[in-house]
Amino acid sequence: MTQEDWVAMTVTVQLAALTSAILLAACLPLAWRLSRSQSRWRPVIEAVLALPLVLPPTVLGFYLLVLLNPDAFLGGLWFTLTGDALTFTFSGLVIASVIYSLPFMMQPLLGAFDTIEEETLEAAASLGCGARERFFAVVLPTSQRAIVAASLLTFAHTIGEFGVVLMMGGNIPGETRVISVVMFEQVETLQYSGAHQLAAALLLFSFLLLLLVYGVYRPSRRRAV
Amino acid sequence: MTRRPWAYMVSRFFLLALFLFSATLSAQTATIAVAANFAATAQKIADKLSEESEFDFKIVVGATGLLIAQWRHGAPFDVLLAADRSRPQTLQEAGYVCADCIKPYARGFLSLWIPRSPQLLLPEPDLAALDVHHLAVANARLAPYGVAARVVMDGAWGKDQAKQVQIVEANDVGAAYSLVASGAAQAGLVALSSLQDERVSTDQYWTIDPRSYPAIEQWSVLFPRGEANAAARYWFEQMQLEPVRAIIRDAGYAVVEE
Amino acid sequence: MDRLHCALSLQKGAFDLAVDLSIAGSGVTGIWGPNGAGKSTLLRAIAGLERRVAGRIMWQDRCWLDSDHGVSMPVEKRPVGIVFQDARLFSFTDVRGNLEFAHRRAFAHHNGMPFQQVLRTLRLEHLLDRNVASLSGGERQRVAIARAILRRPQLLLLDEPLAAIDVNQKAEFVDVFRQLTQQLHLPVLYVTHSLDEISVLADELIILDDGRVSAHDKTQQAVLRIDVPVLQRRDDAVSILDAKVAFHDPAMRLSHLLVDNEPLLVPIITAAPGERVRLLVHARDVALSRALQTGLSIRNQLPALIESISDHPDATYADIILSIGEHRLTSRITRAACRDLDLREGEAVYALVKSVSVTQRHLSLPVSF
Repeated sequence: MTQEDWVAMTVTVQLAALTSAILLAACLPLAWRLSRSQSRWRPVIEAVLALPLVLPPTVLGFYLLVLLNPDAFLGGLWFTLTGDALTFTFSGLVIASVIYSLPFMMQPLLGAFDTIEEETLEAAASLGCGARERFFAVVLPTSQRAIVAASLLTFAHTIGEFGVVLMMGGNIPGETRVISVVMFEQVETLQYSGAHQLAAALLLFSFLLLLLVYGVYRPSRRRAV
Repeated sequence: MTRRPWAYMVSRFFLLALFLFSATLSAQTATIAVAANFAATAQKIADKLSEESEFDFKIVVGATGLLIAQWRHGAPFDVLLAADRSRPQTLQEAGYVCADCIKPYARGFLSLWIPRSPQLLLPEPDLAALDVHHLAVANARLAPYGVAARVVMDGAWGKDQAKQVQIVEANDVGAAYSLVASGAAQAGLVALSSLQDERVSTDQYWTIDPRSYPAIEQWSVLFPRGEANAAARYWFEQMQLEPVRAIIRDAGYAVVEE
Repeated sequence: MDRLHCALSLQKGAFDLAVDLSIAGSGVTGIWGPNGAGKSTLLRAIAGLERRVAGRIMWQDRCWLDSDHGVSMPVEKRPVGIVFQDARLFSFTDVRGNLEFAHRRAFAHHNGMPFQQVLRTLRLEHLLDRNVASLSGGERQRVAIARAILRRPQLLLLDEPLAAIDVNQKAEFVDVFRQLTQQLHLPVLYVTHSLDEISVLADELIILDDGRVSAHDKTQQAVLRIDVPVLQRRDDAVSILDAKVAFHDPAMRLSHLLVDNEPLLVPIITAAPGERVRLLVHARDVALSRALQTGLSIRNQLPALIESISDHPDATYADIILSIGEHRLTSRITRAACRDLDLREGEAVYALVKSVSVTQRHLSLPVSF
């Protein structure tokens, strides 16, 4: 790997890490609220939050281009707040990744939270836990495996992000040039050995990550005594 | 103008699963793999040639490198209309295609496009005076348009750019066009052919002096499979002859005299 | 002495509950009734787990609920400890973790049993590092009780704690529970659908039927309330006697008890001489005789006075309530026998007690002989 490739790798890992952190912070309360909700709007909200799963990445990229433009509303807002454009920046990419990887954080969390019974929460309340404490002292520990799995999945998914970045990244080294685009370029320019190497490295990395998700964090068989 | 980027995107990712049933195609049909930036023109050529002959043509659009990779692994392409010269030459030097099986078919031109140009009122393109947030170009690693753009930019700003303008790369010149069309980039060095295709008002763009950048030549490749296909040979030959060349010129390219 | 005052009503679907109770602030108060009577609902309402409860709940000088003034203390603030039917231990930690969870959140200014003592009393020392899922039903409930107590509540609420425990473990549970109540001096509300269970454990009994209180009395008196429809519907009646251990006869495997100075023989029990024991007697196991019998296998013949005769024309049986000193005993005999013996209120007779339920280990579920 060249110096350039390492820079791209760094950008990619930073993007994945930041995206996962933001999604974790945002989705924990959101998934909890949604899980406890009895509202008839829940299926609608769930469907909306799952949209990035089925939306073609290029469509997503395109719409983000349009929305995050300094001339458009959202992009303009950012511009007035920070003095920077949002398009073709790392920040813009983070926003895109957050939307693109949202279902990968949301779905496992929602699934885990749905399995938490009211009875357990009543028991916690009877031991003196208010609503916030019930969440931190009972819900989170109970769901820790799902939380770790969701985070790792989100991270891995963002590492592999391509279509969105291609559409709206701008391929700026050190800023929006990610490893998946590097690989694409290598294939495009018929540099197959480089592409093979990079692909193998990414494959290994993702595999190890997923092994972590499914292996170490599989619910341990309760040992019968 | 804003609806066309859709077509570009859709056509770009129009994958090859389509012609997996090419087994049913007879020797009267040829499969032509086309680089995205030439797709629209290729379709016009296909329409014309099938009118004038008993042949049929299937157009498959994609990124040149991907199309080649697919072909290497068995995709049933008869002809490739590449976006550059170097890759067809590489194929020939490596012995994958015969000596006469690569020919230039078009020469592209670079234009500076600034859709909201009224503020600029430049009689001539002066990149050094350009003051926008983002300038979209094609990726120089992947497309000759990108190489040309780099040369032009280096000429305007010197090797270390003044950086009042941020350069953003799209993976090909069509994507660069989309970036400008969507408003994400305020200006771009794009293909003249796209501007003409989309009937963009001529007061929004300037053609850069072709002498200031290396010629953007696009070459075609006749694959071994195509050599045995009458329709493919017909296409390959017709690309060098007048009716087709007129279409190519109309589209904003020049033809290359070898 | 503090009492828990609750006057409340609530509606749940087709069911509605309306009670006005003053519950003792010490000892064990049982809440008994058939399924669907509203026992658990009442307990949950007192705990604060039910919504839309109207009325007032007062404990000491704190108001837990006053719906007229919009006051409703959330469950996490009420000084109650709750033991649920399904234990509800936290699965993300082990037994020690569950206990420490409660211990960390104990009411600071309340008195409570020290951690080690709780472990000893509830026999949990060897279970501390066990995984919650590997515990048996009885073990799980003991951990649940320990957890509830470690929070230092002022009131302990138990909702059918024995329901999910198999027969073999019930004995140990009741044993442990009884020791606990003796050491803890905490008022306990105990919900159960088993009259046998509650009769030996509770000092006072509240009988709930279809959302209303049918009786609220000392246990011995409450079980004799044959006017209470839900007791009438049972196919047997019970009586509760308090006896004192006089001495044991190891050779014959018998224990001699005294019920109001009258001797009573039971299978040998572990209680020491001088200790008090609670006995459960089923009415159908009590026969009557005008005179002391000899040549009879039944050993226990207690002199008694007939207090009342309940004799319905449509029934096969009649229930005779007898008094033996301070105690009351119900005898169920056929109406035919009642008529033939010409029994009248105030007469002296002998109660022949064939079978007495006592505990094997001081007080657990009945094993009769």
